[in-house]
Amino acid sequence: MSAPHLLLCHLSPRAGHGVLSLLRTVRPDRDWTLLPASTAPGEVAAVLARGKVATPDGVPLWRFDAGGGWSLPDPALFVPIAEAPTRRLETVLVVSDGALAHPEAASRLNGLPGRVRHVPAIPTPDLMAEADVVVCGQLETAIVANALLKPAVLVDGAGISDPALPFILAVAEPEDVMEPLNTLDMAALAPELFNWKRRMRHAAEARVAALAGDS
Amino acid sequence: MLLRTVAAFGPETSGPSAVHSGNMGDIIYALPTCKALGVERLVLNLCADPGLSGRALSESAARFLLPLLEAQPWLKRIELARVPIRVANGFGVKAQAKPAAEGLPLDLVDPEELGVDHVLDRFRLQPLDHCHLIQAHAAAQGITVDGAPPFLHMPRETDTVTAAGQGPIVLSLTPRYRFLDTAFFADLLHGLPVVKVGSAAEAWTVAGVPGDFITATNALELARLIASARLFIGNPSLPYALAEGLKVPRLVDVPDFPLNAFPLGRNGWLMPSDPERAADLLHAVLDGRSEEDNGMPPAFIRPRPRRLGLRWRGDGEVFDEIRVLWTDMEQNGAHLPRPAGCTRAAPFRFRLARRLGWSDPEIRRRAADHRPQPHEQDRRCVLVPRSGGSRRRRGICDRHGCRQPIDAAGDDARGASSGLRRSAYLVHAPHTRNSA
Repeated sequence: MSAPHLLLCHLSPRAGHGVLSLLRTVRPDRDWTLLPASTAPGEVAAVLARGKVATPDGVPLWRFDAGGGWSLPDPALFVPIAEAPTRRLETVLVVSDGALAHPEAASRLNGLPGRVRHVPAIPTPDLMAEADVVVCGQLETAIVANALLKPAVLVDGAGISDPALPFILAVAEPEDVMEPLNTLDMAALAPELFNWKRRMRHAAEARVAALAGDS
Repeated sequence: MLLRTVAAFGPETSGPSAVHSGNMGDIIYALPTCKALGVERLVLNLCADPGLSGRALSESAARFLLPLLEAQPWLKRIELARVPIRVANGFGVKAQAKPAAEGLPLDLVDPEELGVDHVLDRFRLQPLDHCHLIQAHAAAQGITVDGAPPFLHMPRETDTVTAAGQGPIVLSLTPRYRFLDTAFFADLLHGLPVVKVGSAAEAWTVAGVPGDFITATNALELARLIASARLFIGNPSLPYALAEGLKVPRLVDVPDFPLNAFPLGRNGWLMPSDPERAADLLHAVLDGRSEEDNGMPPAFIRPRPRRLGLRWRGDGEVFDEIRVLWTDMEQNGAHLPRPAGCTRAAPFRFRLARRLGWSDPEIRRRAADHRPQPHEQDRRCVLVPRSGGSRRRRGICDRHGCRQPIDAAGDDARGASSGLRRSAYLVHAPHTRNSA
């Protein structure tokens, strides 16, 4: 193994680990290491960021946003995680973060199907793996749910779903959560979510391989 | 020592050892963990516990696996062993004739008592309802393994006539752990070169699908056949475990529970339940286009139109979860018009999303029309619970006045493990009696 290839990471920790997972797949010959953005190393192979950030002289900037040519979902989708696909809708995990952080918001989630479990903040992957659907108020929680191969309902105040993340169903208000849950056909959804994530992973690997090609 | 050796293959070794009590597919999924632990001696514990967890590893099954295990270069010695006990269940003649266990499952037995370093049976103590079997084996031993790379070694064969990826599609369907019925696969594979694999006792599960049926003499022969396939199609089973170990292109029909065997790494896809989507994916995989984005199916995101489906239960009730195969009805006279909102081509399944009132004359008329006709030899039986319990594995068939006993554990486990579990359908061995 060659000397460590240091990556200065301005992304969220999960997104950074997602990029790391992609790099370790496409360039296993290199020792990729993430460094937080606050560190000032002598020599880095690249800077990871969403949007433009200042980089040391001669160090390439790998952008993971549309402006940087990254048309794929957030790299947090590719975080190494034990996947747990599901074809049933028996357990709903409500994560009280983001727009659901206020106790009053969670109390407006009435009539959810199946067993409902409430947790105050983003739970461990093991706990999320036990659920069939995740209802949350933060995009990153929903992306982790997709990484685990669970669909997510995101309560974000706007209710506009991102076409790049088709298995995150956005609703504006807590009362609206029931609508997508009523129309979900989990048996049909599970293979599509699985296959979509595999396709996204292959595309992301190809993109990251191109970025890392001459680093 | 609890374990008594029945047969041993390979030289003695003092290296790390492990024991596994099956089933066969589970042993395959244990191999990445064995390799990571440096296991050199693998003991196959011959055991059948139909009255406990339902595992079964007979001597013939273990010998079936043997050539494949011997082909793994890191595995030096394989032993077949058993704990010489039988566990009775109940009393009297029944207890004598049908033991709850022959041999001993070893999940909670101390490895020192067994003369091994690792008890692989402990994977069953993991949350198997949402944990992949490869990861469950590793977690039970306190390690993590990567299931993405190939983990089965195939010895080079000089007389191989079919190169890898050049053979026909290999299809393997077993009665349990599946979601889609055989007619789905028959439609999907129509006109394609297919070889069906499986045991003779399970050949009925692929009846109706064109292609030769092959029963391999051992797991290595089966693995060679799968390795040569352009594509493997099947449900979680030993053949699928081999396809997963070889990482051949594979398209897998997974059950709704337990979903613990699915593709890891490249070339693995789940079978969509929509026939058109499944056909698109199948041809994309065959053409090497499977990694291209094929557009998002909107059906499960948009509000769908209400569809009407009725099932006659004979007791005057209409239930709220119903599945109907349009092909069956159309092939048998098309006596039920296609409901409004149903636009897709056959075969098509639909569910009734709301409880309907039996007093509605229109519903009564449609239910009467939908009553199975004597000429419908579709092998479906209606399960009327007899022994209680949430799994409803035993009962009698009341279709066509059949009254035939159904034992899901014996004739077919589909009612216990597939998506049809709660729909009150069971499929059992060819249903020829039709007394109506």
